[in-house]
Amino acid sequence: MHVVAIFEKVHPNLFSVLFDEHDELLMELGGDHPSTGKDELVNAFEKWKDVFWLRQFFMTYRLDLMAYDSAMTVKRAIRETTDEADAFYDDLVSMAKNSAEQLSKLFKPLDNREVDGLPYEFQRLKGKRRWLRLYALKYGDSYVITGGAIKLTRGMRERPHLKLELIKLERVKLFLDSADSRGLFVYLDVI
Amino acid sequence: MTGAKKDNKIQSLAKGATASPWKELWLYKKENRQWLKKSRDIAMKILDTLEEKEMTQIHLAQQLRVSRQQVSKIVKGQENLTLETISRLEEVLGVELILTNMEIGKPKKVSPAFKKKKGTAPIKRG
Repeated sequence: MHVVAIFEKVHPNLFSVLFDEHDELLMELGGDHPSTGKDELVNAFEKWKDVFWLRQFFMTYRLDLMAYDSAMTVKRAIRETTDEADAFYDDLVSMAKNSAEQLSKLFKPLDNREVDGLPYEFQRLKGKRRWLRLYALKYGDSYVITGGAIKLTRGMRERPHLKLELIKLERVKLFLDSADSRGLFVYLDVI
Repeated sequence: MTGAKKDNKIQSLAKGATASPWKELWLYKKENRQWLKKSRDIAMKILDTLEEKEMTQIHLAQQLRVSRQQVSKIVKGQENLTLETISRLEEVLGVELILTNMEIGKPKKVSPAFKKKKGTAPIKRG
């Protein structure tokens, strides 16, 4: 596993994970994540702009889509996702140029209603994203992005692709955690 | 471990690793947003048509005489398609993917056989 900088010079506190092709521990934890050789921020962005991938996704989870918004169609969902991905990453660029304090406003702790049984801060900031999510670990003042997903259901354990994001978070936590450096980790959701 | 030490740890882990190329990717897509949206809409139409006609991407590639990889790129919705490619796609798929200004709003020519005469029932096609 590698940790790569996102903004090396402009902002030194934002990172992304690049999983190894055969991360045995990730697979042991239940992950089935084929590495693309790209870090997770790139992976998320590329998925959210890939019409074929999005179509497959929304067709698979069509019922969840209709439960989310009964008037939504697959076609409209694809359009809205690609448009939102643009706006999402525009905001990331804009906000990450600012101080760590601004960065802390970009992320918010995962809601404990989303995942039971894990220690979280219970702050809740107002979200403005429809269904796009980037997940990160807060480590000191740094944020390490571990993955991204389209979240149509309330809980993360309800769907395999969301459960995978929890596994990835846990995997990166284990990576960063060591006998002499245990610290508070917070699972974060990008606003 | 203090916050500063944690930050240092992350910095040292990232040291030596190639920086994420995401910003270049984002910048490229930002600068080409308009045509990428059109490419996206064309890709959606192609995929709908393939499903409708029960046609595979491999079959489409064969019809277009291009590689499977090229079709895969087209349906991702991120290709800067030439007019020639669009025309060939339209021909193979039997659908219109784009309409020019000359075509939009142009009244369709109706065959005299289908014109309804006042006071009479429409002529049924034999």
